Amino acid sequence: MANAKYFPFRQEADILIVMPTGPISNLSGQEVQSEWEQVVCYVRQRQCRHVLVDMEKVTFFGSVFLSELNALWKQGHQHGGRLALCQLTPLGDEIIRAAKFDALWEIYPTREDALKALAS
Amino acid sequence: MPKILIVDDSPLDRVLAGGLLEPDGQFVIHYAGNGNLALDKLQQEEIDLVVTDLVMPGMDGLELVATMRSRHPDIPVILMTSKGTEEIAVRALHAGAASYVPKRLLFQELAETVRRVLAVSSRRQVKARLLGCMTEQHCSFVLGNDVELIESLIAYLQDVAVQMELCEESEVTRIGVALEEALVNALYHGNLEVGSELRGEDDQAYYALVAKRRSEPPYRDRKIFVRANFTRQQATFVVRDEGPGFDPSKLPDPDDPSALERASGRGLLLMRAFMDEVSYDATGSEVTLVKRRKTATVPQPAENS
Repeated sequence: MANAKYFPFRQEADILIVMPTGPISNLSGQEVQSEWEQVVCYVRQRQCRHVLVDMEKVTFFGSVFLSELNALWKQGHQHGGRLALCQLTPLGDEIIRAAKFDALWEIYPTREDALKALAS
Repeated sequence: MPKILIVDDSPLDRVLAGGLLEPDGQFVIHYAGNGNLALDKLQQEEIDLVVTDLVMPGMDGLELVATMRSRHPDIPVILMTSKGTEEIAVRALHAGAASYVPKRLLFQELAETVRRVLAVSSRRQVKARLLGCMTEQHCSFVLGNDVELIESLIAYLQDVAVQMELCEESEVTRIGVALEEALVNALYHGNLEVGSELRGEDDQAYYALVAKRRSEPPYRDRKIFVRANFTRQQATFVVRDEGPGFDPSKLPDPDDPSALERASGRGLLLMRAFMDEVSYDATGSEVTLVKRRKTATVPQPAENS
């Protein structure tokens, strides 16, 4: 899925790295939704153990994307998997903390930090 | 007298373009040999309009237009195009250039194009001054369950907040996030009565239910009512839906650890984080969001000069 428009992803060892390409509005259309479904499907088929979402380009997002991430976290958590986010923008960081997900998900400043932590 | 900056790496073409404008005696002409030198000149002089070549060494015309869009958004740019640069010109126009003149038609068209673009720019500046005198703005909308209109409304309300100098650009996105949450609640949970339990668990079922209810009564006939009031001190947004509402006193405690994994309630947390006040009426169908200006001093309306 390297050529995906909204959610390109690739696997490194047993970690799925998802790299959203821009902001994710609550009002995003069907096209965005179906591409996200492909990420969920990949994780559901347990082709990887952990998920890392690189948020560098996600300047903002809302509760809908938070719900999607939370569902992904729950799904992985049941099977000993972990969900991590990295490279949050300042506003992205505020959103995660306001929604209190910083208590639930792993957050790392860089992709390298996140990959190292997930591999350990 | 309007100051025009001509940007071209060819000294001959620079002088030619300047020479076409100077005889009128209506403009003061400045020159620069590429985009970087043009940006330096814009720092030194109060330039009213830029006329630029497209292909230049160093910073070219396209890059200059893009940079000016962020650093000098009020200064219009006219492109001088030559054969083979049409594609770049289209990109520059998309990037914000005001107009273009083919180099082979400079003699016939340059002066007139400069006058026309300056006239439009001047009207814009007067309008900006007028909006600077506005002390209050009130608007009301009645929307169907139309996502495109909701997106457009949010952008409009963000623009007014900037016009009223209530916040800086970085804060505008926060207002947008909070408004989006309020409007999405009104649309999906209020009017269409689709709960968030399915969201993330079974998205296909969620969206199928949304699509179904969009076309069946009573859901499809419900409206979203939005009132916004802007002053120089604060913005107040009231969003109401026609759904059955809920008991606001039963909202989950956001600090309760068991609420962490629930699907619902995140939107309200974001609204509260990015607005100064958020309150529901007793029916739960109407939410009021207040955003106050951050700095202590309230800007005075611009003088009518």
